[in-house]
Amino acid sequence: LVKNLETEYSVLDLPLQNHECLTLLIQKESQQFVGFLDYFNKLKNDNLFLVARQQAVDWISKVHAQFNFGPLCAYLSVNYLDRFLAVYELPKDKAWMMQLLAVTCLSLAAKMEETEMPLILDLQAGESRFVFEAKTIQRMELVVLNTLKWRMQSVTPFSFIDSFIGNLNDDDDDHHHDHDDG
Amino acid sequence: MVNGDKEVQGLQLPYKYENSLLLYISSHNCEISLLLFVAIWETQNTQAKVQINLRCSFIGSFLMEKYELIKEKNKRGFFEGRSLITSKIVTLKQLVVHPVEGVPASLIKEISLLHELENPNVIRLLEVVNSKHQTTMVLVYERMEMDLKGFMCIYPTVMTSPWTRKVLLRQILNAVSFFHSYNLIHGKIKPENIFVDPDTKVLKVTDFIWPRSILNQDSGDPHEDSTYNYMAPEILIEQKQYTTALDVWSVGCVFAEMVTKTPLFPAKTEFHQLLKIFSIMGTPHEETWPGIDEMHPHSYIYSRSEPKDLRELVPGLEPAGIDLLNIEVSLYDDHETYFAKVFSLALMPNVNNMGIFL
Repeated sequence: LVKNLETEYSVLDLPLQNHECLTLLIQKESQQFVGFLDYFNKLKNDNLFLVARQQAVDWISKVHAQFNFGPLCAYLSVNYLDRFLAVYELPKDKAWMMQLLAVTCLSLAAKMEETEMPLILDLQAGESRFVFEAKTIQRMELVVLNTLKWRMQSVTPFSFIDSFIGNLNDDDDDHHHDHDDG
Repeated sequence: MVNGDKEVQGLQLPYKYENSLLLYISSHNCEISLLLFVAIWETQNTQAKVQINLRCSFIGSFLMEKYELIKEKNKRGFFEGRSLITSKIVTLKQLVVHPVEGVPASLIKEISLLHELENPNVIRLLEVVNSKHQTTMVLVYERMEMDLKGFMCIYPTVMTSPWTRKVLLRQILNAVSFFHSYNLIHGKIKPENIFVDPDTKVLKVTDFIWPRSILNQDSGDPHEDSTYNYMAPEILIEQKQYTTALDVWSVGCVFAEMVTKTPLFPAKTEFHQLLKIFSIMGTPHEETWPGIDEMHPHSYIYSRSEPKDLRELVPGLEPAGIDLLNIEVSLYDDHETYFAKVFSLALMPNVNNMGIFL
């Protein structure tokens, strides 16, 4: 049994020490979110934009609940949405664009995180003013992937929690080993 | 109509030579390549030609802004291209996206993961470019000079040097252990998927995207003669759970081939592959491979044979190499000790002294 535990550990272990891991996470997080400050200011100042984003997020959370997707999926959808909006200016007169973006981001996040993925068409279950063809969503997927440079493994609060838990476990191990390095 | 050239709407099309054809298409648009395709279909109605040209018209329709096409690299849909910005040579692979399901989930996961990973011995995916209408995408890789198979053919004398072999093996193992450290199994290590720079001997293993999850699966791939030759027995037996050990098996097969220039276990079908493996490594039974009876209840159909001496099968390999090979292609090994052993042997001190690694 002991041997098995060791096996598990060495396979799952990241090739990094934990504090390095944290630094890397922070570094990656800032790399991934291009134009975060400007985006944040825009949300503060542009009320219409804020409302439009809020509606998109609301729609995502509604559909997300309907399909029983996991929490990381919800976070990723909104993360993709924000990162996309931070670098891509949606035309103001086309309200449907925001809805299309919301569907696409949820679809991408579900593909990243969920084991069972409904058809893209079925994903548009929540009440919304616009319904899109699968082909349209597929194209939008490519646009979003490209805009986000295919960096879909976003650093999320979940990554940090995992890292912290890893730290706690390490502390436990140290106690068992009677502070070898002390 | 002169053999080779045909006039299509006033255009003299040099479709006689594949390369010029590709060059031609890359500088023109989709309609012309389609016309060209029809013209070739009409004149030379051979399957092979049509396949080649269908692929050309794919990329031709693509109108890449940043890359120009140079030539088709191999029959698996890889093209050599040049960046118009940096004028660097790159390798291109086009994928068509399913219109209903969209971008496949596995592809999104793999590409986004590859962006986070970087290793000197793994081919780097430079970027992914979309077509104008967002229907196809092209994966842009760094240049792949020559695959290991070609390298062994063109430089047979270089390969006889134990030093070269160690240098190459060490780099393959580095790439494989890198994948494994992220809990990824490559699954298709074979000479065709390994690229070598003939001058510097820098070796790069291609990523794991292309064997699976590629939508325009080239029909040739699954039936390629060598497909099974590097497959670990546990895949052939269709065991449900794979471990990283199966990559080590493939590495062992490649290693033996670097010495002998021929596959260690040559066979053309899955069944013959197992036969071949068992005839050399010995037919497994409960003692040599615990659990085999349960995994493969029909194993009695294979005639009983005893393990052969690898020294005879791979002549010219020094004893340390034989030890290493024996571990890599052993039928059953506790895969934890497996890796430890392979690496302690692969880190042969005389290799490290050469000081060119990593």
